Amino acid sequence: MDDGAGSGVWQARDASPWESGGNAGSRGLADGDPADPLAALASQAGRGHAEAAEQLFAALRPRLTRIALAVGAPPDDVPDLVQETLVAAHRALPRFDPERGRVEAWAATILVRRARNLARGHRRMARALVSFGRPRAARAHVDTRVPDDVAALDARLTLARLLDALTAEQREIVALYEIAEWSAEEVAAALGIAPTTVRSIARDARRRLAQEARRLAAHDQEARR
Amino acid sequence: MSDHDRERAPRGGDGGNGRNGGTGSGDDRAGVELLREAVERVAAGLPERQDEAAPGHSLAGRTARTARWRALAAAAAVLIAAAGVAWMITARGPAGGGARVAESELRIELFRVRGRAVPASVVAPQGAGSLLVIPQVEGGQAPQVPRGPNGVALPGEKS
Repeated sequence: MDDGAGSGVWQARDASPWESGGNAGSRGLADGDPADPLAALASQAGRGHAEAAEQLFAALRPRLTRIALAVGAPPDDVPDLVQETLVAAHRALPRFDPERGRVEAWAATILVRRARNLARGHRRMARALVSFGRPRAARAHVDTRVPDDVAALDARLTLARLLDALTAEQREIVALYEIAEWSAEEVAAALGIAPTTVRSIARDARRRLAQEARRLAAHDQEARR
Repeated sequence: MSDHDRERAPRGGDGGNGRNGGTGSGDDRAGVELLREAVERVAAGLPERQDEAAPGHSLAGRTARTARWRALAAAAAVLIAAAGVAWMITARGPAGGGARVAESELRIELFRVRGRAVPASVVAPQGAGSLLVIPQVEGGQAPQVPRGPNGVALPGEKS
């Protein structure tokens, strides 16, 4: 897989979101800047080309969804969070400057800011509910609904356990550096920190994730006995 | 090669995909891989947004509609604010005119001031004294100041 700055960023809507590859219908519009094929779409979408906008958002949506999940947004809030990010991006498209970075990095920066605001809102709501003497309601607000499907529930629990082992800062860095596979420089630019800090935090986060993974595996083994 | 790739490049050289080398050892990578797998599984279970699935409800269209509604709401808010300000100004009477007597003590009537209907006439409470009329009432009287029974201006008024 490329490092995110290569030509493989763009993928078809129904292809795996992390695999490189092209969409024949999109290539015509996306041809242009080899460093960021989405830049051409963004440029056309910014000039009011509706089809280009649709293709751009179809490409960004699955990637933003995974970043949103990895930064710890509640899964039930993720579709709305991604949608709001895309609406904000659509509105700001005429101001997008490809010289300053990739479209995905630009959109994900909007997403991360919104995810932080969402988390802050949830914490505020939980505090308010606790102060009104409703701690159970506060927990329910954070947990939201659970899916009926056991496998889906298991995936959510695993995700929640792994993310709980990380700090908010580590989650953001893992989401962009490990899950979205951006370069340290891109992550650093998006989060306003130094690239060396990104690498260092990612290293700590990997270690913590590994510990938690071992704990989960041990727990699974015990449950099977 | 980006630094991202370098971090994943195998150190000891199993020639693999980098999961067993670089800054993250094989053991360290296991946590990230588990996280990646969980993210994929959760993402696969998320519902598609209804407004995206329905034809004719594209994001671009939705944004345009949102923008139109926002413009409409902003215009309505401006109108309401303007109406509120106008009401406050007219309820108090023209600047410099009228008496600032507590409203509970006054009976307010509608007069036409400069062609506009405003609650302009304030009449001093019964027994309190003379009629109070704000300036520039159409065909009205000269401004007067509320006075008590003894002819002295009420507190807070210019005599």
